[in-house]
Amino acid sequence: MIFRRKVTKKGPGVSIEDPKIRGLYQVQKELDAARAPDFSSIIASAKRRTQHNGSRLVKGLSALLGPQRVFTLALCLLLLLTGALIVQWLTPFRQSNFDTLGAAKDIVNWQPPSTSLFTSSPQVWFLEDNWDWQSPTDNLLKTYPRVSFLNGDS
Amino acid sequence: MTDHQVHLQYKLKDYHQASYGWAVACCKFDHDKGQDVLQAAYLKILEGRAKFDGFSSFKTWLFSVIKNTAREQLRKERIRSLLQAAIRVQPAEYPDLEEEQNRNIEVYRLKVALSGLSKRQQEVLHLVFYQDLTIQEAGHVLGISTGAAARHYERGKAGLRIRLTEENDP
Repeated sequence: MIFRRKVTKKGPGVSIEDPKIRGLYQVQKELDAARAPDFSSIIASAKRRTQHNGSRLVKGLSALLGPQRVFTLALCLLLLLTGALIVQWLTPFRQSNFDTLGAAKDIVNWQPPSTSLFTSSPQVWFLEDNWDWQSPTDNLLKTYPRVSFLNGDS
Repeated sequence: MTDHQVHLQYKLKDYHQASYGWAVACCKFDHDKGQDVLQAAYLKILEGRAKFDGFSSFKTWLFSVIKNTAREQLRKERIRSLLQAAIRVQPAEYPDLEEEQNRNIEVYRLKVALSGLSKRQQEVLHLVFYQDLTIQEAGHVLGISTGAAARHYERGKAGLRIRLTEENDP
């Protein structure tokens, strides 16, 4: 005796009927059909929108309510100010003349205001780590190999 | 208006009723929003921003355009409602369910039962039962595989049946 299993195969595109659910959807369909706007009126208003496409952005902002518009503008202003502050904060670091150890990158070309104060009258002065102006000495030249002289005789 | 646009208009007119039903379903049964979405979708098509490539039927392609347009509009709506919440303005209310209940108790029951299902299940059920599409076509519209669409369909239908029965026998 051969037993055959009854297989109800449904294809990928086939949906199983459920009269109750379908009936409910049909009622909804009828109600929607009664409420559906006229096709020509929708197309007409769509065309009107096409004509005003250029002013769509302005329309978007002006379509907001008064308080909403104020809030949006305030938010934009706040973002702008925050951006400006961040840029201002970052600027000195970007233009820094100091290396990663904090030492001055360049020897500053500076002459003492009065020779009476500096009897040795050196041609070159440079900035040390402790921010004091020092005259060049052998010791310092060893410590700061990047020193250069004004007259080029380094 | 070009011949192509006239031709498109005729085609759109053929599916207008069905498109409206789908647009409303995509907008959580809000008829006003559905109308806006439908208008925006028509505009996209007539302006050539959405082009029919012929890979599927015109109806499934049109439904995909409507679905995507509704998603864009709802995203904008969400941002707007966030703004409204931030300045403590009452957000726009969803359609009055009591009024809906008075209008038609059957549709109200269906909507209540559907609200317990996932969005995907609701969409697949709508496309199959309301729009008379096959599961394969529904998958095309939603951009998912036929197998996934079939799973959503089966689970959605089972869930809907249980919810409708529960309502009948509380």
